[in-house]
Amino acid sequence: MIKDRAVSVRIAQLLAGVVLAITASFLYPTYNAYLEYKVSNEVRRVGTEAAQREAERIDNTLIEINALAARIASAGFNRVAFTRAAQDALARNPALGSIDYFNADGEHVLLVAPSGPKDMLHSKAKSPDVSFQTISAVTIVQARADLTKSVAASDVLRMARRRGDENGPLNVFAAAPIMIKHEAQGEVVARIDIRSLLIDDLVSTLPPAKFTLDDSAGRQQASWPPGNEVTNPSAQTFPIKFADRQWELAVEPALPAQLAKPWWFVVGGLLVWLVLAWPIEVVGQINRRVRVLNEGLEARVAARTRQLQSTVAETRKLAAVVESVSEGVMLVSLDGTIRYANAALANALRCKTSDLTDKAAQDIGALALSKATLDEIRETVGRDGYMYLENARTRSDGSTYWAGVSFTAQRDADGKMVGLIAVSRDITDRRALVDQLMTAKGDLERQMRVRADFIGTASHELRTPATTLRTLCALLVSKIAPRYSFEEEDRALVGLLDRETKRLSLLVDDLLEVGKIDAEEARRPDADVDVSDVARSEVDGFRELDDEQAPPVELRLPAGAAVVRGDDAALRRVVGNLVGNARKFTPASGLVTVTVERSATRVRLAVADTGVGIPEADLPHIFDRFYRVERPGTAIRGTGLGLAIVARLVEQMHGTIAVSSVVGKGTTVTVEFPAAAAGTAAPHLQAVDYEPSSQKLA
Amino acid sequence: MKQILLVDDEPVLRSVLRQFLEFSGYEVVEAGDGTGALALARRQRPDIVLTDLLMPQKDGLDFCRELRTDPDLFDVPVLFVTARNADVAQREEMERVGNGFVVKPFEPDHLLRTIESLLA
Repeated sequence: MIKDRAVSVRIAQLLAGVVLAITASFLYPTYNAYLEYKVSNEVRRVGTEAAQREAERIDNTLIEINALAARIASAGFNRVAFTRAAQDALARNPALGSIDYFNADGEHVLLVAPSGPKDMLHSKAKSPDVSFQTISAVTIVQARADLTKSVAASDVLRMARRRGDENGPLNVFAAAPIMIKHEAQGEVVARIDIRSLLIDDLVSTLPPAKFTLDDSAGRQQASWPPGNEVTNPSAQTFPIKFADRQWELAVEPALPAQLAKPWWFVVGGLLVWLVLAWPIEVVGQINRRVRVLNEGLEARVAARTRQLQSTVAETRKLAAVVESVSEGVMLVSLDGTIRYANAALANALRCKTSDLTDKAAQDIGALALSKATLDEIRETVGRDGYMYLENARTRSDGSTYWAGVSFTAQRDADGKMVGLIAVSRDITDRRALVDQLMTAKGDLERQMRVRADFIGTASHELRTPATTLRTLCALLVSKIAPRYSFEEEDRALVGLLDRETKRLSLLVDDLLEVGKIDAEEARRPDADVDVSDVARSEVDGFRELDDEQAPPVELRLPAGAAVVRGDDAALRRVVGNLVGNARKFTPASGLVTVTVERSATRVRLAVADTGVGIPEADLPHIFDRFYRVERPGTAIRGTGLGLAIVARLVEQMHGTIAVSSVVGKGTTVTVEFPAAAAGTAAPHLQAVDYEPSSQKLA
Repeated sequence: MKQILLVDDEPVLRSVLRQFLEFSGYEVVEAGDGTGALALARRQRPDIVLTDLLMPQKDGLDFCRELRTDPDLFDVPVLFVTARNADVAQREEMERVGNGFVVKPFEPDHLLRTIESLLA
């Protein structure tokens, strides 16, 4: 397409060239013809003027001669007077070459030339043979070479003779008779220099041209340049009118020098063509550019149209989705006017969408959105981008339901909030469920409190009888028994009583501890505690028991302090309980190892034994309260609360507890706490020198 | 023979403890509350006082404080007997005003060791 347009530009340029060439080919001859016409006009004007002027001059010359003849006729011939008068005439009229006087007998008496008079009677010169023609009153003598009435000595005649030119136009004589009472007294003959009279004047006045001067008989009298023939058809002829005859002046105008040359038009045409073709080229280029832009624009418009169509389709799809969802959807403008409400919302409110659209939200009672609420929602959504609200809605028919409404911001392309999008759903069932759950939770919490109170009160009440029983047992064993000779069987019974009351005492102790831990809502006191220090102290305590039935305890401590944030007493109870358990379930030939390790962020305490182990099925439950692992063949009894208390204390100190065990091989309980931040450890703890790091205790 | 003033509102425990302490070689005088105990102490001037913390009318702490203001009795060691769930503030007060405490239920041997160490 673009290529076609480029071709059309070329064609336009070519056409412009052709039109210019044709115009030039017409212009060239027209211009030249015009120039010629102008020259011809000029020639006509000048030629006409010249012809009139020359006729006048001839007339004047003839008048002069007639006047001279008339003077002699009246005064008589006087040599001196004639000479003077002739010389005056010669001086006045440069066309006159000489003036002669012939007497009545035809004798050539006197010749007066500009150089002076000459007496012809006494010279031997022959009088010229002159044929006369009369022009007006003056007889014109045309002298030819053989026709000379003038004296032979006359320069003019001589010159004429010497030329021998039959058609020589030069010498013209005018003769005027001198008459007194009709008697001829003589004759004045004047030589008229035709050249001086006509040719010189014509040459000086006519534009550069060739011309010829013909007499009335068609003989050429003069021409310019000399010897020229005027044959050109464009020549113009002008009559020079004398009194009784007429000559013809033929002028052939010279072609004007400034006549147009064909190459002017070639070059001019080319220039004009360039001047025309360049804008055509430029316009063509601009057109092409505009076309390219247009095509780009059209493509973009088409693409945008497609995009818009797909957007419209997408929008319709979304609208259909919004219309079909079960949630109520509503658009509220910033001034609180409902711009849109879907069918689900209208259904939920038992009204029509038209009852909602374009109404103020605060005026729809069922929505339960007061102006203050709307203001708050607008502010919250503007700040946080989201707000959730649950409110009870009362429909126009009086029925109620709970709605959970999510408000989000509707934003324009610039991200400016222009409205609120409210999506609501009926949460009546959920609310009912939540209410039930909350009630149940409250009941449960009350029951828990009652139970905890009961345990607390019961164990508190148990502590005094337990103390009494223990003291009674002590009295029985130390005071009463020695007084009587108890059988072995009786002593066994007393021992059983002693053990069971001790267990009862421990159980009360643990129950009190559990009750106390449960009651402690606050965290354990946060102090820096060195786990190594606690482990060493607790292990030393066990060593002091000096029980030969128990296995040795090995202690492995890190070089420095292993400080955690927590409560010293709680940590002691944890370590003591774990080591006590390990000793209880490990034979004397076995080994209990207490290891404290420290990393940058954690402190780990591991209590490992080589004892009986815990069956895998029991592992998940060992931290439950009152859970006791059945160990056939062992008579070891516990309260079932120890590990539960340990786990609870570890948890309160933000630690973790884990257990791994293999039946018959042993058990390892690992406790990990976050290490206290660097620099918080008390200096005296760091200064204590615990060595060696591995210490075996008997 | 060292004399112990035993104060407890529970007569059975008081009786059993008295017998146990007497068997262990101490002379024991007993009172059921703080008011009676204070009068008894002024009369007998015991070597050591063993008192329950929580009692009707005058509790162990108030009794101990009054004991400390008496010019004849201010230096008598006082050992509290208490429940484990006594709070931290109470424990600190017992250690500040008295000379120590044992927690019910306690082992009788432990009680004897503690008394011996206070009398030493």
